[in-house]
Amino acid sequence: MTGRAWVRLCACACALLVTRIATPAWCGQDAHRWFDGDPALSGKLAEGLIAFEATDDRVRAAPSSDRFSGEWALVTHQMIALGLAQLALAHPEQRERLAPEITRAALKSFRPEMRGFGTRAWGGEDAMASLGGPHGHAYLSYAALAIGMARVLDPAFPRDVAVLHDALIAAYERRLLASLTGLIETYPGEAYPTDCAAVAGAIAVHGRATGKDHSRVLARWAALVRKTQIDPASGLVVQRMDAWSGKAHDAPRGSGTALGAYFAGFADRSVAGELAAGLFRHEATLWGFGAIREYAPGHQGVGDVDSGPVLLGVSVSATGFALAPARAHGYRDAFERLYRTTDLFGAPETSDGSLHFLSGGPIGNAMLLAMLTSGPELAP
Amino acid sequence: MKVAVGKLARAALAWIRGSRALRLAVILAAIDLLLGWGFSWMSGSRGLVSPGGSVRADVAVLGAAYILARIAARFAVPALVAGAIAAALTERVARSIGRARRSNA
Repeated sequence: MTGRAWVRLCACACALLVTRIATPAWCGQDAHRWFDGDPALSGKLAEGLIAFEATDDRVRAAPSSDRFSGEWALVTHQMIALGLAQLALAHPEQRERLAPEITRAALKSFRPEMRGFGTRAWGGEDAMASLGGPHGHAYLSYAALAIGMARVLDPAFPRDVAVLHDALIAAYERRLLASLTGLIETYPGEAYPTDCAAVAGAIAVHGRATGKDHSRVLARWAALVRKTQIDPASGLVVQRMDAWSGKAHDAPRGSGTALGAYFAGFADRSVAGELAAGLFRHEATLWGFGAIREYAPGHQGVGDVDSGPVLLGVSVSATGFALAPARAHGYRDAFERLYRTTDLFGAPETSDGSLHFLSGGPIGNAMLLAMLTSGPELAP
Repeated sequence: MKVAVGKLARAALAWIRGSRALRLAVILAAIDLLLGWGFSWMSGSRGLVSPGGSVRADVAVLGAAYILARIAARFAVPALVAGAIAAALTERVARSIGRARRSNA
């Protein structure tokens, strides 16, 4: 080997070694702070989202054809409410300041125009106008969970909405107790275990807010999740199922399992822990970066609205959602690897005292606030 | 002190000009910064999607370009800088070994 070849070989080896160390360190510089719950960091992301809600209020007050509404808006307001609620639980000194903001976001998620997509799917049947009926309308549990957390934390929560929330939770409890699979429909003929985990979470949080005992329905739901919804081979939950027979309509998938683990945590810590354990069996790692495979072995697909794009077998949503169970259940190493990937693709930027992930937009930032601060909401 | 800093800066500039790897690292870092600034300015707080949930094509194209540049910069810039430093040091060591051999002979 010539001297020049030695020089090149040495340069390449050094380049690889430095990249292996420097790039994960660069992308993961805030991972420890997020995992340890640094209020300076979470506070900056929260401030950006509180500002977003204020702007949304101004847009809503003005005549406009491009208002923020529908499924994405419902989830955005719900996740802002949940993220802020988790911050208030983790830092009780901030509770008084955050409580009105939590209520504001939660109330928006409960507006009729936010659930218009579900009303249309059920042929014009509104979830709140059909509480005595058999249809599941499980999508509204996302808003019900946010309203529940607002009721837990805000003593000034409006009484009229609390009455509606009580009625919705009673309907969910009755439907879940009547189900042989632990599933209730989101859309006609379609049930999503993730949405049903949100239903269980909403029921549990309602119990925390009102003191009402929901232990029977929650124990039954937990047993049926283990029996019918978790794929024993992969540990992942089936993404979409038949509510009545429990027949799978889709594969066991990472995105549903990760978000389901987050929602299940509100209702039953051990079910959430089992889902998290199953989920992290499907982590793909490379050079200190982590991502969650979307499909269980033996299944494949290109992704959908739930998962986002699936690239090299891993999905954007599963990876982002997995931050919550990683933090809540103490998977520090996995959290750091997942955060590095989130940082690389999310591009966090701090400006004017607030932090936001450039590629996330309101929904991405709202979800990341909820996922990156998950833990204090876990059921006892 | 000012003179020393000036000398150091001039030496660093000369080194960057003379090294293809370092020039590429600087270009990549500049593209990353520029696209990041442009994407931040264009997307504001709204990100890649409109309030209705549809993808905003113009912002999405710039966003995709920025993410690609960001990945390239995060991986390639440390590699190129480390490679250039290692090559310069190894060359210097190889030269001094060569000189020592020649003087021994």
